[in-house]
Amino acid sequence: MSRILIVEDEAHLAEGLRFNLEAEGHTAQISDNGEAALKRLLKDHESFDALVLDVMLPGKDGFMVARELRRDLSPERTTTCPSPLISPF
Amino acid sequence: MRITRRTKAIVSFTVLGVCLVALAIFLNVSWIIFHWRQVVPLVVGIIFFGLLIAGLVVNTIFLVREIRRNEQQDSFLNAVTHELKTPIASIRLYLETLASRNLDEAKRREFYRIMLEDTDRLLGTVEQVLKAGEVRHGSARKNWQEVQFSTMVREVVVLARLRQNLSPEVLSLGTTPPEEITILGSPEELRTAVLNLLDNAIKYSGDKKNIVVDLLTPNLDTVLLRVHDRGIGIPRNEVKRIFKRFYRASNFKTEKVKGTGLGLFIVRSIARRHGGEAYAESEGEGRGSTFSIRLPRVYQA
Repeated sequence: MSRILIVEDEAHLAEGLRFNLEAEGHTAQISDNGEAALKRLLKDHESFDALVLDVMLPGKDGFMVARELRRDLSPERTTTCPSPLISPF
Repeated sequence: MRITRRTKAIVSFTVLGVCLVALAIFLNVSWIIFHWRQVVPLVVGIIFFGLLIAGLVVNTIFLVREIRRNEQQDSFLNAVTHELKTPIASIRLYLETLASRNLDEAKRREFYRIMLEDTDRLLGTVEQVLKAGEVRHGSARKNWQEVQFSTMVREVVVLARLRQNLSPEVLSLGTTPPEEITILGSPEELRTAVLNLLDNAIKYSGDKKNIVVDLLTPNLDTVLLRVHDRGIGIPRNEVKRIFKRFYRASNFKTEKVKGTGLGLFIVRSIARRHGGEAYAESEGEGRGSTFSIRLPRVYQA
């Protein structure tokens, strides 16, 4: 069982993803924008096993969030936290 | 990235235009100095250089305008693609979930409701794109009839409240004239225009939703619909441009609001087709805005 953070601003998609991940036995939480996700990971030091990151996010987009995480997250945490990028595009 | 490249193109074309105009002016002045005693070459020269300079200026202006329009069209295409693909992705996700998992009745109903909302959103986007084409090309005065505008505004306000789940305090009807106001036009289009303004006010209000709709009669043959919000406002220099097709105000916060840049274009086109006008006022960013539609009033015989 893993702890997964879903970063997605579209509530329907986020809830659908969460439902499916939880049905598979994982725990999933949702952040609806990049800044909030960065705060949880970098400032509050919450730890997740995986990140599901949307590309088209308001404000900072998924690529920017991923770049900042690679830069600021300690190396041992980056390698244990894979983050697939998703986009309906 | 693309925007900076476009800005660079605009700057370089403007600089090129200015340099060429300066060169033409320099040549013109030299021509005048060398030929000031000969009337015919002097006059012909001045006219020729004048035309050259005017041509260069017009050319540069058109070029810059075209680059800007291209940029807006690109962002429109991106917005529409996103607005079309997101609900489809969501419907697909829920359909796959419904097909592959055993769900209880309550969950199934919830998923059906979500999918219905997604189809509404999809339909809304498609209708807006079609409407934008229609108000641009379609013939006016088709299906025109007498419309009881006060009743329509009241109905649309109630509809917007229902759709967005708002209380009457949040979206309220302020001043309305005691008598019914009649205008001549297409009920469907007028309804779209009013609904677009209300949807916009709600969309761009953020958490400070407080929208007041006034229906005024500034003089005997005019009716004025005013929608006032306390939302994110409009940067002052963009108040006129926001009615252009695909244009979206540059406020940082607008990025958080999904939209195609067609809503206000539709509102203005409809107002103009009915012999009226649409305009906006704003004290500036973060200070709310007021959108108005002015329409000619008619009196029932």
